Amino acid sequence: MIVLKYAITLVLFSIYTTANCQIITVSESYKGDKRVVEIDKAQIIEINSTLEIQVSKEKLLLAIKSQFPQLNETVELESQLIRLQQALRNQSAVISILENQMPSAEEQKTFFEIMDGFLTEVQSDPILSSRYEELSAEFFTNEAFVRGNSLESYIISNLNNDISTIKAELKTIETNQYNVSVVAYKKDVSGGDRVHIQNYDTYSNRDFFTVERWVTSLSAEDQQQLEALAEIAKENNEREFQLFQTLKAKLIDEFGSLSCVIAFKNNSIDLIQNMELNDVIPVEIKVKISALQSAIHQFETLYQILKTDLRQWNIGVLLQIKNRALSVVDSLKNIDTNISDFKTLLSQTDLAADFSPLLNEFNTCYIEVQTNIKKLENGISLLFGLQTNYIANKSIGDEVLSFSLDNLPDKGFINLKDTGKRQNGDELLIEAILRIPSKVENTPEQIFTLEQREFTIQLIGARSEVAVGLIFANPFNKDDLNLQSNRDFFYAPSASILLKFGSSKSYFYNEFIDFGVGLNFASPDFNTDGSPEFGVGLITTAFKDIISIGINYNTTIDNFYWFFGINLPFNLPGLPVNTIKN
Amino acid sequence: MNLKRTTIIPLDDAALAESIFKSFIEKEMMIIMVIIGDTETVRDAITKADNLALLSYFKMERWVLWIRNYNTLSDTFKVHLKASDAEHSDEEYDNIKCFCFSPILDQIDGIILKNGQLSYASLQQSFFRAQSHDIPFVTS
Repeated sequence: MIVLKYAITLVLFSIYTTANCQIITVSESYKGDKRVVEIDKAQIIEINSTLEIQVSKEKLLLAIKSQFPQLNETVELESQLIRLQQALRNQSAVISILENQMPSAEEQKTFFEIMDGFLTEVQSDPILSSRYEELSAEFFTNEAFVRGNSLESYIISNLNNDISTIKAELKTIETNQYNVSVVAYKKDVSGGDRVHIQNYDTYSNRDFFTVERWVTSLSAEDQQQLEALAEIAKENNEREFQLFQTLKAKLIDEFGSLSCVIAFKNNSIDLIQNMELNDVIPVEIKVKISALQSAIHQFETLYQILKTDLRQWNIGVLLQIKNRALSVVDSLKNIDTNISDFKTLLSQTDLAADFSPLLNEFNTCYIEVQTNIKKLENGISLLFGLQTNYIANKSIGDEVLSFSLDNLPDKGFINLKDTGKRQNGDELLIEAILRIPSKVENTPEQIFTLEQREFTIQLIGARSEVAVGLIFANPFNKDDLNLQSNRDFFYAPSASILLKFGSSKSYFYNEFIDFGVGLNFASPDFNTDGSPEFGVGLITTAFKDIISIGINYNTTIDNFYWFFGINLPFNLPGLPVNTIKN
Repeated sequence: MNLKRTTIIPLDDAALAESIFKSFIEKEMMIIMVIIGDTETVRDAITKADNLALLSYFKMERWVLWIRNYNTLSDTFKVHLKASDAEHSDEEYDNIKCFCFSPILDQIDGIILKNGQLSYASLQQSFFRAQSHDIPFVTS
């Protein structure tokens, strides 16, 4: 029972210490408001704010001590050093006031406030408390003591000597030394970039960029997209919808190289089966053909996976894509090797003529596959470039300052406006890093992440957005309009000015619900005369503008119509266009 | 025990004890530290408090009164404690072992409870808290 009690206490204590072991504290300042981003709350920060990064040396020491026991000797000494430096942080003010013959009431107040804090700290630290006791007793028994001498000066002076002694001792410990750095990265869809933390690194700031809260004009991309949508709407209104077939044909065309590989595999199986009936094929050739088929099968599978990955690529799967591409190339080489071996084996028999059509087919297919692989390699080399950039950004550069614990600045600052172009949903990563220099010459230092804080950046509060998309418009009282087309819904390009809200508390709202309301402007062509009409009205959107619904007034033909829009972030047969806005 | 700035309050004469206390409390510009009890720890603390009373900050004198039991002057101290707004002033008198009177207003501050330590640091803090209490009335 007692053991159980101890076990429960131990577990509770570990939970408590883990929960409280927060090295990095981040405070956000924006337009005069300041708030601490609590670690147990949503890690969402305002996109245009300034961040204050505070590093707790005590928590840092606890983390190092628990994770790197080999550094205990150094950590103990540094821990004492930090406690002493912390306790003596106001020593000059104390000495200065004590030396003043006629301190003002204000100065006296300062003195007592400082001393109260100092003595509270002394009493809460067993080592410091014991040292204070020892020094005080020494002070009063000292023969040199005369009335009028200051106990504080005596204690402060001796504690400063202690600091010097510890520093000297730390210098003698050449092994087991370590340094600490604090670094920040920004992660977005295009990869990642360093973020400068004032006091902790010497990186230069990126372009100053304020994410506009009130956007009312279309960007060049929006404008281009709107024009493209107008074209698509026109086409869709004029002809039968054949997107599914078009997509299918395009897909088959794109995967042509793969169909030749599959054909080759099937033909080789048929040929071998026919040959087997005659039982003329030597065992070693059968084995080689089997190996070749297996290699082709592997290639086919890897190729399919690579294509799937490429369709869904993002920075997270970039590393996988590279590996997949390399696997495909390797597997193609494997086919080539198997074919060479196969040809060699064939040349030693009189079966070469029988296999000649199959080998010719392979040669043609192989060239085709190689060309396609080359195209793929070229295509994904762009992605590799991004990946290389991403990896390079993650490595610790010389610009990141390396600190011992006693000279580690308590605070660092990030002005998010200085971090270049960014958008809602981008991430900011702040890490406290332990760096242990290598004892072997010309080998890199060891780097360990002690704590990582990850924040989502977001325009918090009200903002406006401009969105473009294709709507499906259904006119009211259609019979009165005498339209040529009898369709219920007409495609129309549209642009909207939306009022939206960013939450500092809910990822779900920001990343999924993302409700918007505003004005919609559309140019339908109900009378299909080729010249667009102008419609204006109200729109509501949700789920990142994937779904929208509203009501507009067609000012050209004086008629109301309601509409909906579906802007899926992927292609779906049956939908004419699915391009996400902004 | 060679005490230089400590007065031991008599236990057997309540009137005399009251009189001695009054004579100290009426002194201006003096911080009075009261230590109650007669244990080993208290005896040790008396020496430390007596040493600290040798010190003077901004021309304020210090003195220690040693009350060796909780009966002597208890009514007087309870009245002062009731009037105090210091931390722990609402604690039971029997649960307090040290406090100071501020130099001008004679308000109790720097209370140390029975479960607290009587170290150089805590005693010095008690003196400082009492002295800082009357800073608004100090003319420099």
